[in-house]
Amino acid sequence: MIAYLLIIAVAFTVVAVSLVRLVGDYLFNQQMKDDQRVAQNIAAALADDFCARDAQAVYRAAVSYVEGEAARILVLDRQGVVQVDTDSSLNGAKFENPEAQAVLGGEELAGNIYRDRGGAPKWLDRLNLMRAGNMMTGVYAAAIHQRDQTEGAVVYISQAQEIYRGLTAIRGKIILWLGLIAAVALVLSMFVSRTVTRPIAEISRGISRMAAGDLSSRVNIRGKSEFARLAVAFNSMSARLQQLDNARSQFVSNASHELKTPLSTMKILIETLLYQQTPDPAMEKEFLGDINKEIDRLNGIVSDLLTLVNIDSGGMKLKPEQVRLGSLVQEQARRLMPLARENGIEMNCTVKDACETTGDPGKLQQVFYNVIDNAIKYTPRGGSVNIEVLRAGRRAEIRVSDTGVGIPEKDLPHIFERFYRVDKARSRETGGTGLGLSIVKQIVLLHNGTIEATSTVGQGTVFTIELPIG
Amino acid sequence: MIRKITALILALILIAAFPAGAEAGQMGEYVGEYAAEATLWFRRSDGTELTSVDRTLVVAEGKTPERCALEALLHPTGEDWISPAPQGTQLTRLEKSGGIVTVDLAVDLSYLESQQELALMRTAICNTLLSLEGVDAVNLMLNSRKEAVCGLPDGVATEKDAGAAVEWARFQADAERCGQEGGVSQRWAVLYFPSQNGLWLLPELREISISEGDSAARLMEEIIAGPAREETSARLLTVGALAAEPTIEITPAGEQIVRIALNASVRDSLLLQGTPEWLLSAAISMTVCSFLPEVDGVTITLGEEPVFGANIRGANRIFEDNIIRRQDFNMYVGGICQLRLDDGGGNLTPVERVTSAARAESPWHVLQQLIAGPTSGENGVFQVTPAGVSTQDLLGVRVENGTATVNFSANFYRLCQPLNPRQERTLVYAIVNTLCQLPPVKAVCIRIEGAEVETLAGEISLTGELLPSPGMNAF
Ligand SMILES: Nc1ncnc2c1ncn2[C@@H]1O[C@H](COP(=O)(O)OP(=O)(O)O)[C@@H](O)[C@H]1O
Ligand SMILES: [Mg+2]
Repeated sequence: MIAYLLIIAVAFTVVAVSLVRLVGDYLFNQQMKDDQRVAQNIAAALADDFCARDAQAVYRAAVSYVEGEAARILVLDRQGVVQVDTDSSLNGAKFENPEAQAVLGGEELAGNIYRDRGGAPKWLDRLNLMRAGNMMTGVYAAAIHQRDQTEGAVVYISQAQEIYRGLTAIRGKIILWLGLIAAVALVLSMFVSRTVTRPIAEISRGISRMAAGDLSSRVNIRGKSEFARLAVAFNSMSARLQQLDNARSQFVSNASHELKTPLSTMKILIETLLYQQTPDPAMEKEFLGDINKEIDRLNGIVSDLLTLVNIDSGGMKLKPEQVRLGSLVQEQARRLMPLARENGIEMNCTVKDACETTGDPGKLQQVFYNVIDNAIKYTPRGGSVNIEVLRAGRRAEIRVSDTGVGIPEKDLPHIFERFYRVDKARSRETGGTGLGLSIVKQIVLLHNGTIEATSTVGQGTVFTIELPIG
Repeated sequence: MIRKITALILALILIAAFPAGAEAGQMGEYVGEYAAEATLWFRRSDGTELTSVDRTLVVAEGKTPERCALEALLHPTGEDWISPAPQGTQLTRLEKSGGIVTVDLAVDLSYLESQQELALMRTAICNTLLSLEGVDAVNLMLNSRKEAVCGLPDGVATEKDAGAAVEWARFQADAERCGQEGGVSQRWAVLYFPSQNGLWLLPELREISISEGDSAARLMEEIIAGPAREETSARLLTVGALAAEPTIEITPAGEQIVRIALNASVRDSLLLQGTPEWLLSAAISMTVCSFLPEVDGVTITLGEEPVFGANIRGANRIFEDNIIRRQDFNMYVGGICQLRLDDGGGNLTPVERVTSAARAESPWHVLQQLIAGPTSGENGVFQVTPAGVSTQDLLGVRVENGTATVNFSANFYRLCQPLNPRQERTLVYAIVNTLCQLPPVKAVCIRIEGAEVETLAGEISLTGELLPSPGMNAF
């Protein structure tokens, strides 16, 4: 701020000084021109009377010119001797003034403004003009002609005091105005820094906070300026980042937990086996079977995770080919038929349309397998699972409905999230990881399809998958 | 000190080197010819009006512009111009004092066929003289007498450029008015008063009201009223001086004489005032004869005694038949010469000195007066020349082409050396301004022993000529 002030002050001083000098020079030049003309006019007007040696007439005319003005007229003869003086105090004296001498030496005009008393020439002192306060005296000489001969010179002496005073007034005004302008500039620059610099600073502060890891930081800028819009964008970006970050940590903690559970189980089983006093082959077999199950489970989780990571990183590539959805669904239903039977569940699969389309058959099988698997898993004994494949316009619809436990309304929006399970105990018992539906959703989305679920707790759930045909 | 010594040496050298100055016409007075502007009023061939022509007159050495103008008017060159006066008219006398010009012409009046022609001639002569610089009034006398126009005194002309027809109409109207009961007319008259120094008669203009036949009484009243310029003129008569009303009588020789009866006490009051007695006869005769028409002279009685003679500046004069004529005294008309003396503050105050009318306009004489310095009666003015300078130091004045070259002695130069700038300026411009008041002088050159000098004391440059400095004059 001080630097600003300094720059402004220096710049304005320079401007003021040069302006004052400019105006001063202009005024002086103007005054000199005017006075020179006055001198010339007087010389022309006095010429006849002077050449006729009518001193009375010349004197009277000269006095009338300077009446009421701080001016003086001298009329010099060819020798530079004052013959007429409106002050009548220099008559007869030689007037050794450079302007007068120039004119008597053949010049038409000459003029100068003498400033300040210091070192004033003798002739100027003799004019008695430099009385207190008279700092400037304009001296102008003009030739008096008769028949192309210089007969003498008129010396017009004017007090430049007026211009000097005018100049001081102008200088005062300039300084005042420049001061005002400087003040206004200062206020303006402060205002600009408030409206421009401050939002930028605010945003940059937000960015550094974010860089430091604080994703919850938001930038607060009101208004409709570009900066406000930038702040809004920034805020939504950081919200999104925060959300992603949350999701990521949730995922990591979920994944760790899911991976840790089978490992701890396995550790307990193995330790039990290791430290048993008397080996029991039946128990060993049972424990090893359990360990094997846990390993399968780990395997399943890891492969599910790999699948998801693959999808997330965009690494999953569909291998599209002509498929008949009807056959794919029937195939999976058949694969799961033993499980259904084992669980005492009646399963029907109705294919109303073959629904031929392009898709990755492997991935689609995974989808249908998972959904049907869930339906069986979460349906108690004696329930039923109905599978329907039908065509609605340019879309194929695969509907898997069961008469199972259903999904509470508050959980319904979350079932496609990773590791989300409504009943953790039950799911675990049935060997679920909570990753199945999220993989399903990703694959369906990759096929430009949709999946949604409707459910009533205790009555059953319906999963509807729609896939484009063609 | 060094300056004084060099000045002395220079002065000595000047004295040694320029005795030739005297031979070079730098001694005494010489006024060369110069130009004067005049408007000449000639008679138109129809004889009822005048025609005017502007002329630049060459005033030859020893002449005056008035004389030159009259000569040019009375003796026109070329056939286009006709003199307003009859043939053979001669100028017998011309007096000029303080702007009042009195002209006496010898003219054969029988040539004039009518009063109108007389009026025409009068208008022409007066207009011509009034056109000259410094002429304020013209009193025209024919054959040493005033003439009547339409039976009334024609008075003194003061109005420039009067048309002849208009003037004539006015004379007629005046005559008609005065013919009626109680009618009066205005006329300008010249009154003559003794000068304060008792040496001269000084004319003075006065406007008076006249009616038929009482002009002499009016004039006496004005004389009793006293002079307007009391600085220079003295009172002549006081109230009650008149013993009887003036009367006019005709002598056996056919001359018209005005009889003035004064009380004997007049003599005593003149004595008391210090006015010489001859000035009484002089002033009254001059005043009366300069106004009343066709009057040849006056007789004055003081109590019972007639005035039969006068002691004029020590010389006795007897008046034949006690008749006092204008011609007896017209040479004593004085003039006022104007000097400029230091008022003590560097300004130049006018100082008036009464001298002979001729000398009043002589540069030499005026300068002599200036160098002589203030007289005892002149207060508030100071000598401009340094102490030791006398009239002897004025060697000569020469006026040529408007430039008065004043030649001073080396002694004068020496005495001027110690002057300070103010004193030097006052001295130089007292000389310049005084001389430039004279009609032929426009500028002044100051020389020492006939030679050019740079300056007197360092302030004023004397190499060229100097114009007057009107601003230094205190009025
Ligand atoms: N058909 C269904 N009936 C009731 N609940 C179901 C059904 N399908 C899925 N769910 C619920 O959705 C959760 C997520 O399913 P999923 O992702 O397949 O995990 P998992 O089957 O391994 O538990 C299940 O834990 C379960 O609670
Ligand atoms: Mg599942």
